Amino acid sequence: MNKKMIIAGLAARPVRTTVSILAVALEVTLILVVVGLTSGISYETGKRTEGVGADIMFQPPNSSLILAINNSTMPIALENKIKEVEGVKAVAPVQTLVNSSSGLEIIYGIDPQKFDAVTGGFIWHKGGYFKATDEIVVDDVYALAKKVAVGDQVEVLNHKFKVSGIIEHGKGARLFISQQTAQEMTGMVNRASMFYVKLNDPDQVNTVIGRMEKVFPTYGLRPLREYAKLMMSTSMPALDAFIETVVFVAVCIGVLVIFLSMYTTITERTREIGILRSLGGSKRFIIGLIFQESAVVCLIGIVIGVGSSFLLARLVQFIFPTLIVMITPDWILKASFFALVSGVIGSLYPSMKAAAQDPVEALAYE
Amino acid sequence: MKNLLETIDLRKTYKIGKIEVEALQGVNLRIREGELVAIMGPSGCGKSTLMHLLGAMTRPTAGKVLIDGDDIAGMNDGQLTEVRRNKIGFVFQKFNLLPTLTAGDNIAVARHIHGRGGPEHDQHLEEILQMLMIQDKMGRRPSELSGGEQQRVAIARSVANRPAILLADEPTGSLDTKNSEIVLNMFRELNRRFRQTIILVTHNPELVIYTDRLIEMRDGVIVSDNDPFPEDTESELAQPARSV
Repeated sequence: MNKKMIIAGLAARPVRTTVSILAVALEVTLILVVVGLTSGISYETGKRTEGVGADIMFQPPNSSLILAINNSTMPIALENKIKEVEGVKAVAPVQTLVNSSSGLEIIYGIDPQKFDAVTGGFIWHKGGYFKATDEIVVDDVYALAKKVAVGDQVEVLNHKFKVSGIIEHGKGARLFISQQTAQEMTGMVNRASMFYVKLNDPDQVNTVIGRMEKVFPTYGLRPLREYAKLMMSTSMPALDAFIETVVFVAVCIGVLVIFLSMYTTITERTREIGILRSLGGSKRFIIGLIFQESAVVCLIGIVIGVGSSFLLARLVQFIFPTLIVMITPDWILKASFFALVSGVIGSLYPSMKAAAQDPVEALAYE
Repeated sequence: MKNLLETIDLRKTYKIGKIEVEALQGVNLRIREGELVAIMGPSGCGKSTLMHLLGAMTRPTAGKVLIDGDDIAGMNDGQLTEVRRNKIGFVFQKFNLLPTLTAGDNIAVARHIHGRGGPEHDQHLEEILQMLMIQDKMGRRPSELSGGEQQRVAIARSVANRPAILLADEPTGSLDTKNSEIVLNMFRELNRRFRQTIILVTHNPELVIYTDRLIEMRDGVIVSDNDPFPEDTESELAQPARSV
């Protein structure tokens, strides 16, 4: 009978019910998409870095794990010293540049031969390596996003480049220029941002890192196997704060909408509540009904919100192929939990107000 | 005959701002099992307040209200609710059916709250519905029923759980003459066939002919009572509470 009463109550006010459901769905979508976007970017970047095929990333002291961005501060001559470490097969210096004019794009300045020695070479879709200083190699995701083909011009860091080749994505950056060009653009001649290191035996990575730590005690040495997971699990204070803020705002939206919806509902249904009380319905019965109605709204909202999140993720990736929205099962559970909590909090006061109504006054309410 | 309702020096005072209004000023009455009683009086005489107290909707300011043996004066909200659930049925002037449910579901809600629903209750309910001539109206919403039909559904709801007492507050106030007659005859039938104790609260003297006893009120007190058994002094604590 409770089910009938709840469904009848929700169906009697279709607009308000729909708005409440959509607000909860918005709350869930907001959490999942924003968290998914930040997680997706981190994970995808980590995967690409992993995909370089190197075994160790050699970075300056105190450099950032995330995106491995830093000023090119290491002398390129370190390459030879790194090669001398037992177990090292090949070393590729990389100069990283950041293009923020249209999103955040990382550009690698590389020596093609040395880079291929570490990575095993690119998988070419079209074209090949740059032959001139104003040429650039892009990955297929970038080419799709920017709708460029071999021979087209792209503007990066206020420089015009001609696309010389398109490669399969997943090898560090999406854009590659020659080391010489990178050094000219940054003014950092004979400098590198990091070195990718290939080992004779990848299973000896910890041993080789141990050796390298003795020679380079202050430098950042990171194994690249499972680099993506490391990026996901690394606590980034700014990112955590951002996610917490988004979750808080989303929960507040849910609480306020449910509160408003339930409050106006119990006001409109004062007489109904009086009727139920006159029939012998206890305060607990009334509170239970309100909570159950709120729960139904939240559950439907959660289902719609999760569905919308996946749709929105697809849409984002369709419009912006370089962006990844990663919606994980544990965040679906968290977002659902937050939505239910917001429903409980939002309906707490209205339900208690409804239960506390005097039956005589409630019946007389017009 | 057992007393189902008894009031002893019953008083109820309301505070409206700084003014205190004494709605009941010492009411003493006794209503026995199986009686069909009218409580009549002009507007503001205290009859609705008396009905609310007899129906355990509120507590008295002073005095006693014994409902089937239970004194409600010291009861908390939960206990009053339980008395209403187990012992009282209400019929209101404006029907007070839940508009989002069908007639059948309106009756089912009352049974759901009461927690009953065995076969003997289904049979009893079936009899009531036939007597009230609404068995074919169960699938309709209140908005799809006439005033008379709605009131009969409300009556069915009020007696579905076999309460000890049925309280009707101006039950024909929103009905035309024809439907009023039908509803009042239904009350009489309920009283005759099922020995349902019924109290009708009204300002309309035409209802009196349908009842066995008339209690008149004015200014918060009873001014006349044609109790057929005025000398019956059975103690309020003599019998344990029971349902019909």
